[in-house]
Amino acid sequence: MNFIPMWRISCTEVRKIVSEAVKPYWVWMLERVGIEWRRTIGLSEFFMLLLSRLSWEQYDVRPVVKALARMNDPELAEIAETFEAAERDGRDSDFERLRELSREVFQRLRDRCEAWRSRDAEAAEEAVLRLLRPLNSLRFRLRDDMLRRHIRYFEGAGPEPANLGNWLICYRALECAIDTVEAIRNPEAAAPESFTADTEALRAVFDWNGDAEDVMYAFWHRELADIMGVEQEG
Amino acid sequence: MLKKKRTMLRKPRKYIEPSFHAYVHERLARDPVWAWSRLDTEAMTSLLGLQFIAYLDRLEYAKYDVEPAIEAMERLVESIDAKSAELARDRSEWASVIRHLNRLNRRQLELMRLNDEKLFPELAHLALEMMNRIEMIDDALLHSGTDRTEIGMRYAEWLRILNRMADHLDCLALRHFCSAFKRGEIESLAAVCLGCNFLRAVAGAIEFRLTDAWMWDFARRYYDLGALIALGEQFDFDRFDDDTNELHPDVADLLYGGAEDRV
Repeated sequence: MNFIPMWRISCTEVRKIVSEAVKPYWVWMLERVGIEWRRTIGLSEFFMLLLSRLSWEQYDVRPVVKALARMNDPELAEIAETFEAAERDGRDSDFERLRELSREVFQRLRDRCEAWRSRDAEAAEEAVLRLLRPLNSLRFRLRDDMLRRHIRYFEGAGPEPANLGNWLICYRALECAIDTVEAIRNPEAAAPESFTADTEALRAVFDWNGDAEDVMYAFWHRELADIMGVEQEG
Repeated sequence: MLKKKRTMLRKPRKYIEPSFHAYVHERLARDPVWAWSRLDTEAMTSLLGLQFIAYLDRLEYAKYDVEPAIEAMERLVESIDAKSAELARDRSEWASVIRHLNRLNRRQLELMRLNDEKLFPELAHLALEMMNRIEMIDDALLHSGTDRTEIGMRYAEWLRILNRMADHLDCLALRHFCSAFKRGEIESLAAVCLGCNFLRAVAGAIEFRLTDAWMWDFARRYYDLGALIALGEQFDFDRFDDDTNELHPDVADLLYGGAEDRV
């Protein structure tokens, strides 16, 4: 049972944003919670969700997706293409496919790099670096934004610290992803820490501003209005 | 050689093992029944009760003072005992019901103090039923027609302490955010941030079981015990020290910047 108080619908700001947006992958995933069985998701699957979540917050994730596409691997290219299509068109079939494919991102990357390295170590190194650079710049931007956000609490403007905690969990996931890519690049590097998330907790984990449920609800409301042929109020 | 070295260097764990919180975490992870979105409000409060006792255990290992919360529970149990004795003197049929339920409360507190690995299953069972007992005792007291002022005050005191703990964790998380973040204690910091709302949710759940009122929307989200207890094996709250941890310059400016001018 998930009780959403009716006042949330009046969050006009969220509804305005949603009215002009395509449903992102992370919102689609949050909608699955409660419909599907609870499960634990690994770093790979979480990573693609995180890219979608970051994109919603206006972080530029395109260089990461492009780097995946340029790994000279048909499956990684398909993951990148499906991600772009899902975020562009918001189709359920793309979301489903992306979820399926995203479970193997890092394994696929590892296999690809190992095979590539044996033939052309330099090219393999360059391809991994192409992925690492935008990931690191995402991490730095996220870090700066988090520090800035925590200052806002002292100005009396921040949402609940729990939202900051959720943000930190996502930051940790990004760090783990970077460490994993580093370990793929350099097999002698320290083994990366594992990261898992409970699907039941995703609604909290992706709530960075206290509005994740408002966003979800606004998309649901828009879809309902579309089905019923009702024009939405501004 | 490198592989051998890697296996020899054990990664620090996120929580203490063996411990009650580790036991509960593993049990919840194993048990697919506990899908939050499929629970009714009663079951949600029960789960929060179990997680709360596990969380107190984790905080205690991290040198956080949980005594006020445990003592408030003990005072509540004593008040209920006194009331059941009073009802027994008046030959009320509710006296034995209340005494029996409260005996389980006392046993739970005893097990929390003992912290014996062999008794974790019993403690987990009692903690899971804690919210049900709270409601049943309250109902029995209501039906007995006795004066509940003192017990009401004990409940209020317990809730006040939980909310105060939440406020304190809020304050610690924000004040030491910058230093902990720079030290790379990301998961510990996240756990402290999440703990604030978790404690408020527990207080909200107790309030709901007593009054049916939704003062805090405890059902809104699932609190992942794994994230709550992931403070780190080496972590303790002594690290959140005002004398050694530097505030972010902007925060220091906001908090103390204008103080000299005002003086």
